[in-house]
Amino acid sequence: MFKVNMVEPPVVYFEDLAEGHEFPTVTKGPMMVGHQVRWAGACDNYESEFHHDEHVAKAAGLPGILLSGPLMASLLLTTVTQWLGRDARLVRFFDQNRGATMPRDTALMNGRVKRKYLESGKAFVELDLSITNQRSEVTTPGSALAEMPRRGG
Amino acid sequence: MKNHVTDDVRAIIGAQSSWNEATNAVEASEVRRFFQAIIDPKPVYWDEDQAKETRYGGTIAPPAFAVHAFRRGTDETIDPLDAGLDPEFDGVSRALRPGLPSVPIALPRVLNGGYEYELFSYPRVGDRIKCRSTYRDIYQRDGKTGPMVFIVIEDEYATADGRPLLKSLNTMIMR
Repeated sequence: MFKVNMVEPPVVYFEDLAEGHEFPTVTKGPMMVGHQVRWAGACDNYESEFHHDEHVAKAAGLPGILLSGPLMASLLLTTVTQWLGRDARLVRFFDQNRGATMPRDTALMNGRVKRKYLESGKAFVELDLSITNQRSEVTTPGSALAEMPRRGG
Repeated sequence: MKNHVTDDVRAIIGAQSSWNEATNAVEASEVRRFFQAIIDPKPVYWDEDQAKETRYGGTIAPPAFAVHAFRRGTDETIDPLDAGLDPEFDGVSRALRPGLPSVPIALPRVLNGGYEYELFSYPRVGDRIKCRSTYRDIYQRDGKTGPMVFIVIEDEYATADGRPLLKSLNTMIMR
């Protein structure tokens, strides 16, 4: 049987991150209807039929089933917590559902350090975030603010 | 373009619900289904030994868990999936939050525009999560494709004993 030991992401320190630093892009998907249905099940939310019924989606004038914006945002949020490591404390997170993610689309999680600063003895990093698809269209712009641990701190 | 933000609509800006408590306390299997759905199997969500070594000192639920923890009550006899049987129902629910008035706008589509989260602490198994919602703003912008009405909803999440979890500003779009 294939077994992997899961471990927490390594600690990343404030000093390790420079402004302009680009995090390695993380690819999710291809996103399938199953991802959407699993999310609906996890949230017990089945009321927006266009998220799982193509007939309903097209009747509503949509091109087809859309994956849920909050699911895509959660994938991005998860990626941020991986990039920033075990001891980062997420303070703010923002996402905008700008473009649709549809079944069989790939979702690429992108992030860079926009700014780092000290305030009241605490160390913060601001990230510019986005989800792009296989056509390089931005479906979800976003941003995050996190408090980071200091080396020797 | 027609102004959809009438006096009746403006009247609900500032409306605030009472605190609503989630149907069940946070359950381990519910946390598991959530982190599996967001493809994030970090041990801090399920392994007490590894979670003890983290800043949290024990297992937690993922950051946005509280936002999605409000499930149909055991005593809610109206099945939301029966809405399609209502001859007046046009396929779009304008009741955006429990305990808040519906938004009286007849635009045909309701979309989720996104969230801004402010995170304070994370839920843990056994916590009872409560939420209070407020219509912060409702305004219209006219775009190339027609009018769009933005509804900004603030949701405050806390544990039943008053520990703040998360504050969310959710923008819903009617068009």
